[in-house]
Amino acid sequence: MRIRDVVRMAWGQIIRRKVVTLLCMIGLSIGSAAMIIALSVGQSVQTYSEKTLNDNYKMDEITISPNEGIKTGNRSGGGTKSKFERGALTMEKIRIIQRLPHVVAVAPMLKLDALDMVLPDGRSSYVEVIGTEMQTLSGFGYKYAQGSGTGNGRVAVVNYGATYGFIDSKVTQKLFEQLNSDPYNNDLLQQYNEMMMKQDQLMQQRIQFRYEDFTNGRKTKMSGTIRVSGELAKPSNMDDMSAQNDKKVYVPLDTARALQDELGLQQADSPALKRLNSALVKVDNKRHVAQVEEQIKKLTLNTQSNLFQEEAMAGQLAMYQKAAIGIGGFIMVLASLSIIVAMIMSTHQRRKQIGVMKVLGANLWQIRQMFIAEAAMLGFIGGVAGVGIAFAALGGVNQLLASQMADQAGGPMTVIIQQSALPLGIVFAVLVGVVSGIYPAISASRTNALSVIKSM
Amino acid sequence: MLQVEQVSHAFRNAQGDVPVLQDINLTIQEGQMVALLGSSGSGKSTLLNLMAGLMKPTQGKIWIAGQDIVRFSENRLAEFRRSHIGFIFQSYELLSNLTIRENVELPLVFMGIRPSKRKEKALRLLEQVGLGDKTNLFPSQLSGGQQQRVSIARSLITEPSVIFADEPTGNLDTETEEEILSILQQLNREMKTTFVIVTHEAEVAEQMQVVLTLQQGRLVEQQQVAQLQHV
Repeated sequence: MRIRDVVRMAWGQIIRRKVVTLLCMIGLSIGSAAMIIALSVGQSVQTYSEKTLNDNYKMDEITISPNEGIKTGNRSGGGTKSKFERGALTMEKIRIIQRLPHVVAVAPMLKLDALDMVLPDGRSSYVEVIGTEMQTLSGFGYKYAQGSGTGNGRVAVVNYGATYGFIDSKVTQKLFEQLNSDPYNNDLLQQYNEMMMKQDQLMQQRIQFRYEDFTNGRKTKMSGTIRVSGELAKPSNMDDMSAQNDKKVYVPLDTARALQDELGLQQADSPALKRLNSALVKVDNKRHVAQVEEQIKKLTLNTQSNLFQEEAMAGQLAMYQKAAIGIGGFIMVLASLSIIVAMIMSTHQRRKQIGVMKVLGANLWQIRQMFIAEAAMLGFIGGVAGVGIAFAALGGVNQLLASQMADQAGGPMTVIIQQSALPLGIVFAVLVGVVSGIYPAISASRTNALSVIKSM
Repeated sequence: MLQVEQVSHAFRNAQGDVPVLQDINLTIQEGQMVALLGSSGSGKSTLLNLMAGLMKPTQGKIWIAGQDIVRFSENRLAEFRRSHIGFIFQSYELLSNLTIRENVELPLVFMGIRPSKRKEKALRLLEQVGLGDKTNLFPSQLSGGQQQRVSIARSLITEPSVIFADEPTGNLDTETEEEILSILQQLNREMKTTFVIVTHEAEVAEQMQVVLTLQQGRLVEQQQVAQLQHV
């Protein structure tokens, strides 16, 4: 029997038996649409999650810290510290790391305590002061809104958040006292909030840092002046509130060490504390993060990246995708059952026709071929209809997501039907059709031709 | 040549075996028109089904074109029927979703014959049975007699050795019955095809060359009808 004849006869039955065709198609198209949407949602969730991860966690960066557990060298009795520390983070190691494959930038860091940054007019704000090589900042995607990190004398670069929230301690103290006596006064609260949300122009301003030593009777020390030579732009991946609360000031390493001396930071005279206490490494692609981490660990340093976040999310995603495919699969099973039932009914109604075909010389395989071809065609039509339904339903899915995720920082997730999901959905529907058609086909081929003769 | 050798058949039910045919021996020569005559329950339809390979006898052999079809598997029988046996049904059994030309072509579809050749043969046969102008109509658009003519054309398309017809005129009026029998006789003369026709009407049987009469599962009479009657 020619394929063309099999297809023609199957198509003839599909056209003729409109109700059965419709019943089968409804189940299959919904199942297929569910599968397509499930696959696309799974893919979109993955894309969205990866974007969120990259935005929030900087997946291509590694934080290095000294390996303080490893200390070797001359030890004297009485628990004195070693003179040589293998796990220390030194500039020599930084230079080695800079030359590692896939490393784009390395920023050595000497993080000081949170210090009170004081403006010439006396207002101040607490910031995190970080000593680094200023030219490395651009390698980590920091963009300057104004100025740069270079210049003569002692310079500093402030980030976006560090330009907000300068307050006068006397004014603040008075405000707090008023708030204590009248805690529900919204005007006072608003006044405080407005102060905190006020942005100052720091470029070329001469700032100082104030350190209050709580261990030494709250003794306060002021540093020498530092000129603000640059102001970083607001990071694109942060909302306003987060960006305003992220207050950092970058200074050259020498300046950071000098600040330690000037402010008498705890044991600042200790060479160990004057060493780098961390470094940031940017890798060309997150796929190489693990490899670079391994290399860095060989330098007896600790590393930390955000890969674990991805692994945790991958686990969640896999579960989510399995659930989505499970739902689609369940609908497909129902669709499959509808085909089986509809085709068994059809087989029963066509017993006489099948019997005549057998009497006229159709063998078992030819009868089965016709039924399986019919089921495959139903699957194909259902699959194509499913594609249409998936596209139609997508608008609703996206609207739902938009309403549910309106408050998300990165905006709501948008489900996009993946091109690969379309043929997959259709092929799956055809397969379901074929598999569902097997039993009815076998049942049809077992029709007793004699029953036709007897009924003549 | 069709030969039935010591064929017996029994149906099994709760009470045990019920014999339907007993020790049937007969030979049908190529090109003969044979009537299987008998009253209801005589076993004539069972004998036809056995000869057509639709059932297997409890005992005995059935030879068609030199092959014992009793030994064939279901698939082998299907293939054998395709090329050696034609059927004419009492209720015509045309597929309602196919045109009459497509109905006639159907046995060739199962043989995998290419469409152009099928069409050519079907049109020629429909012309022969007087339906050359109705090839694209559907069965429901034809009268009973016309549908039976389509059924005859369909039975002939594979050029079988033998055509079995179970009460082919049973659903037709007398005039149409005459017409159909006349067509069968004409085709028998022209194509030398063997016809085995089951009937319970003596008038129909008398128009055949050989009449085999069955009674209570036994072949009781083999009668040669005068040759002149058929010329």
